[in-house]
Amino acid sequence: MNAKRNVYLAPYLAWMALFIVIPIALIVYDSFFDIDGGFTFGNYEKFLTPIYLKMTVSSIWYAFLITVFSLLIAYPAAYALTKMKHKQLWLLLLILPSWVNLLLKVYAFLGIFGTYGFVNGALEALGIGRQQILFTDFSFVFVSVYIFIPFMILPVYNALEDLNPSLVFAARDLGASGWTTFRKVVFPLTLDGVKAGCQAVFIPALSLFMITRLVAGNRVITLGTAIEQHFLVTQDWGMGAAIAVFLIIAMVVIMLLTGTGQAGRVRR
Amino acid sequence: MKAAKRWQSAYLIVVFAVLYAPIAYMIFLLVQQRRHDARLRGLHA
Repeated sequence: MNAKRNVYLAPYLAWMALFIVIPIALIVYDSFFDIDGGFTFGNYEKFLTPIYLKMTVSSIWYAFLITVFSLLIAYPAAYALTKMKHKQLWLLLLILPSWVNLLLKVYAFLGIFGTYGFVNGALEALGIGRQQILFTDFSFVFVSVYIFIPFMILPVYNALEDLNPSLVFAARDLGASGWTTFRKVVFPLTLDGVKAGCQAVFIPALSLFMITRLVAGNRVITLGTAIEQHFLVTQDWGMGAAIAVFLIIAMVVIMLLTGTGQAGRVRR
Repeated sequence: MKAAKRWQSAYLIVVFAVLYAPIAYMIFLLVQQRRHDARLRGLHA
């Protein structure tokens, strides 16, 4: 029985080794070499200088903002979805935009937010006048939230679907207001979905680089931008790898902090 | 109850509008480009 199980495990283990363990090991290995190929701890020393620490704080701050706004928009949307008649169809329609190429959507926002774009046209028609929307923190956070909303909606929707409605009815029967029911019953029982959604948004948001370039016009510098810059422009793979190692550690910490603790739990 | 349902629907419509805005904008640009190309072809004919 055990031997048979090991055979079934082999493809999974090979996949894990090839695409997770070896790439991470290569990144860690690369992080100990300078631009001339000499062994050094200098990359990590450089990472601890104020420039990179400021970049790290900025990355975490923007990822936090993106996660919070995604949650604030996605939670009510997922909640409203669960109350709809054809919810599976509506859910599919909500997920559909995430199938469109990311770059295409980002380019569309360049047109929408541009000086002569749709939003500025509407602002001018309203008498407010044209504003600088593109290449600002706002546009970066807006487009990022737009990209990540489906990733937040899905786990929250699943958690809300799993919620036993009789618990909500019981709370209302016992005199709890709508808000109290949400605060004391609905939200705590869907916290696992919220945590999974936060993981799915916060971790990729930490390493965004394309949106920072195209929409924020390099006004927002994140760790993802720094990694891209080191690998493609300065060719300092060691420094890029050192930042990537830090990102991996940050992601592991976030996963541990927001872990749902469901491993091994039997669903009844 | 009915009012809550109406708010939920309105909120979902706004979310849908925002989610589909860039895609609609791209289609609009495509149509505009096609029209522009057709006009140019007409001028050169």
